[in-house]
Amino acid sequence: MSTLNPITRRRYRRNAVAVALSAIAAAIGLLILAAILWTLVSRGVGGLSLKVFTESTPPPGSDGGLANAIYGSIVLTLTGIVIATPIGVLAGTYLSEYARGSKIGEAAKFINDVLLSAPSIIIGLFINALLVVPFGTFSAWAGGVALAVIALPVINRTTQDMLALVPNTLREAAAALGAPRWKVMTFVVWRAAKSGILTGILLAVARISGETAPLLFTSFNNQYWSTNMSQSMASLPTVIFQFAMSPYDDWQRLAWAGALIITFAILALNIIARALVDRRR
Amino acid sequence: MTMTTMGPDAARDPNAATRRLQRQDRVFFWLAWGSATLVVVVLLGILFSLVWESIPAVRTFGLSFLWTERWSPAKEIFGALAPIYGTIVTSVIAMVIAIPLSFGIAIFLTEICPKPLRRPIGTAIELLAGIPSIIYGLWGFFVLAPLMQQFVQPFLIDVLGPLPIVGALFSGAPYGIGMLTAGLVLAIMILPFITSVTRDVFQTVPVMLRESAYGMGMTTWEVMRHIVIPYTRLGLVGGVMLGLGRALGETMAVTFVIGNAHRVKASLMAPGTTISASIANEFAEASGKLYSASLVELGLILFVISFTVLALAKWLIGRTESY
Amino acid sequence: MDTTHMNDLADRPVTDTLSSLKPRRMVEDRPVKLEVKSLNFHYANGHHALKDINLKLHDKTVTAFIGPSGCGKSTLLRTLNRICDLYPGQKTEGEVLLDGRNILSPKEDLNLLRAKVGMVFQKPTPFPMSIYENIAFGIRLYEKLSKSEMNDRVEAALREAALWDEVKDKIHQSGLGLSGGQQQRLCIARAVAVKPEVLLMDEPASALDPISTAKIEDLITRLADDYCIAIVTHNMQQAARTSDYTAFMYLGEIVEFDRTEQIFTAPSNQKTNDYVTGRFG
Repeated sequence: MSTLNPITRRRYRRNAVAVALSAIAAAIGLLILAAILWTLVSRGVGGLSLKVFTESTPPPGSDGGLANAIYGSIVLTLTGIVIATPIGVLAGTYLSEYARGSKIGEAAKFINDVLLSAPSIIIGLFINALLVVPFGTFSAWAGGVALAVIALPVINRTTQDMLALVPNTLREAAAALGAPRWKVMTFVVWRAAKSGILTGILLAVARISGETAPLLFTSFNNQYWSTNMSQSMASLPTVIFQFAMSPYDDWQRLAWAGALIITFAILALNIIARALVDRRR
Repeated sequence: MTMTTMGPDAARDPNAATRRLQRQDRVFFWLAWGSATLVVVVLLGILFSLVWESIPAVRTFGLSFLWTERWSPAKEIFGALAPIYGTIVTSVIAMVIAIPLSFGIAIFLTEICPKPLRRPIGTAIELLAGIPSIIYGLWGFFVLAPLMQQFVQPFLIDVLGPLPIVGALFSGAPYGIGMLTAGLVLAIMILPFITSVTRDVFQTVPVMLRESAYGMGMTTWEVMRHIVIPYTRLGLVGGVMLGLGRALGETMAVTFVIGNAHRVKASLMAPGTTISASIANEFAEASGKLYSASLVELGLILFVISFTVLALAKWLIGRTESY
Repeated sequence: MDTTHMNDLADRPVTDTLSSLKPRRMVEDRPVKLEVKSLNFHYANGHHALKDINLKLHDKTVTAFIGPSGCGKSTLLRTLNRICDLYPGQKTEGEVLLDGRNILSPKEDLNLLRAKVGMVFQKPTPFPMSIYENIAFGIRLYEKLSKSEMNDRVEAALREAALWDEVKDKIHQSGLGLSGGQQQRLCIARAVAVKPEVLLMDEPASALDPISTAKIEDLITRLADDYCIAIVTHNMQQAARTSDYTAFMYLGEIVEFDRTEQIFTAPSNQKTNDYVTGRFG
C-alpha cells in the first residue's frame, strides 16, 4: 500500500468502507431472520404437544390445542387455491398467448398487477360486502373466496411469466403438425412450463396460508371444531391474533406454538417451490 | 362414435374431425377469455363496493373527512387524518431504514459475496419475504417493542430530543409500541422485496459495461456508484415504490405494534394508527352505518394511495426495460 | 399401412449415398405438388419480405432454397404451411396452390393444412414429453388408433427417420434427453408420422455437427422417394448434395430457379454465379 499515491489510497479506503457497509447490511438481514426463527422456536416449542394437533381451542384457563384452527387453515387454503388455480392459469394463458402485445391485453395485465398489490385487508372488506353481509353470517366459503382473490393474481402473473419463457419454436412445431391451438397450449406449452406454474401455485399457497387480514371479516374465527363451510371457521392466523393479544398465559403459549407451526410449514413450502425452480434450471 | 373406423384420410375430412377441433378451440378460447375478464371484474367489483359502501360517510363528512383528526364512534364523528398520517409516517420510516439496507444487501449479493455463498444468503433473505405478516407483528410486539422501550427509545430521547426542530420527533415517553416501532417492523418486512427487485435490476447491467468499468481500474464501489446505480436508476426507484406499496397496505404487522390511537402527534414514539390497522381493529365491531362506512372510506383512500404508488412504480420500471 | 416399404428404406445403409452424388431424378415427369403464383409477403413492421414469387414444386423431389441471410427463403417456406399466420399483422398476397387448391384462401383450415404440409425447424424442437408421446401426439390429432396400431406407427416413423435402433430401448424416456442430431431426427419422425404430403425443412442441419448433418442429408434424400420436400439451407454443398431443384433468392426475389446441377455448374445469372462460387453471401 505504501507505493500508492494519496488519491488511489483514498479511493481504496472509500471502497473498503462501502464493501464493509454492504456486508454489514447483509449480516443484519441474516441476523433478523435468525432472531425471528429463534424467537419462534424458543417460545413455541414449549407449547407444542400432541394435544395441539388433536384438541380444539380451549376457553382461557383450561387445556386444549389448535386442531380446529389447523384444520380450518388447511380447508380455507385449499378452497382458495382450488378456486384460484384454474382461473389464474387460464387467465395467464389468455394474457400471454392470445392477447400478447395488444392494448387490451396490456391493460388487463396491469389490472392484474393492481390486484396483486391491493392491500389484503381491502379484499377482506370486499368479500365481506359480497358474501357475508347478504347471507348475514361469517362463513368459511367467504374466507376461501377471499384467499382465492389473493391467490388469483399471483397464479395469473406466474403463468404469464412462465409461458413467456416457452420458446416460440415449440408452439410453431406443434402448430406445424396440424395441432389446434388449444392442444398446442394444453399438451405442449403448459407442459413445457409445468414446473414454473407449479412453483407459482405453491408460492400462492404459501402466501395465502399465512394471511390474516382478509379472514378477519370473512371466515372470522370459531372456538369449536367446525366442518360446516357455511359457518365461521377458525384458522391459525386468526387464532394466533386473538390468543397472542389476550392476557392469558395458556392462550399465549398456544399462539406461539401456532406461530411456530405455520411459519415452518410456510418456509418449507417456499423451499420446495424454490427447489422446483432449481431442478428446472 | 365413428371415430374408431376413421383412417387417416377419413379423419382429414374437413366436415367431421376439423369441426370438432374448431369447437374445442373456441371453448378453450372463451374459457381463457372469461378467466382473464373475471380478474378485471373482481378489481372493478372491489372498487365499486368500496365506493358504494362508503357513500354514507362521504355524504356526511364530505372532503373534510380527509383533514379531520377527531375519531369518535360514540358521537359518530369520524375523520381520517390520524390514520392517513400514521400510514404515511410509518411507511416513510420503513423506507428510510429499508432502502439503504436493501441496497447494501443487493450490492453485497451481486458484487462482493463469494460465489458459493451467494445462493444460500440470497435464499435466506428471500425467505424473510415468506414469513407471514402476523409473525412479524407478533415478533415486533413481544421482542422488538420491549427492546425499543428499554434501550433504543430512551437513547433517542436523550440524544436527539433536545435538538431544535428534529427534537420534536423524539420527545415524550418511551412506550415501546408506536409509530417508530411500527415503521421498523415494516422496514424488516419490505427489506426482502426491495432487495430482490434491486438485485434483479442490477443484473440488467450489460456484462460488457461492468467489465469495461473494472477494466479501467475502478473499485467495486466506484463501479456501483458511477456505472451500475446510474444505469439502473429508474428500475431502482420502481423497486423502492413496490416496497412502499407493500408498506402502505400492510395490516397485521402494524396492528400489533402501532398502539391504535386516533391521534396526530409529532413524536415518533407516540402510539398512532394506520388505515389498515384501524380497519382490522374496528370493522368487526363497528356498530352503525356511519361508523362502518367511515372505515370503508378509509379503505378506499388506502386503495387509491396504493394504486397511485403501483402505477408510478410500473411506469418507472417499464421505462428502464425499454432502454 | 405401408410399413414394409418404410422398413425397406430404413434398412438401406446410411453411408451409401453420402459420398457419391446421387442420381438425378427425372423430375419433369412428376406432377406439380405446390405452385406459388405472384406471392407477396409483408411483415407487421411493413418490411416487404417476398416480392412476386413464382415457382412450382414437384412431387417426390427436393427443392432447395439458397441465398444470403434475410433474403426471404425462410419466410417463403413459412408461408407454404401458413405458420406465419401465428403472428398477427402480417400480410400475404398471391396464391399458393396445393394440388391446385389455393391454401392462402381465408377459408382454408390451417390445422388440416399443416397436417398435410409438415415442417422441420432449424433448431430441434422436441416436445417436453417422451419420445413415444412426441410422435403419438401428432397422430392422435387426426386418427384414433388402437394401442398396437399406434406402436406400429411410432416404430415405423422412427425407422423412417433412421432413429429406431438408437432409441428403441428408451422410447418412454423424455425426448429432451437425446443428442441434438437425434432430437432433430425425432422431429423429422414426428413430422412424417402424420403422413404429410409436403415436408418443409428450415435449415434442418444448421445447428448440428457434421456427422449428424450427414445423417439428416441422407434421410432427406431417401424421404424424397415419398414426399415433396422443400429445404432452406445456408450450406451450398448441402443444397447440391440433396436437391433436384434449387432456387437462388436475393432481397425477397427469386433470382434463378432451375435444376440443381444447372444452378451449380452453369447458372445463367451473374449474382447466382457469384453466390454459388462463394464470392458473396
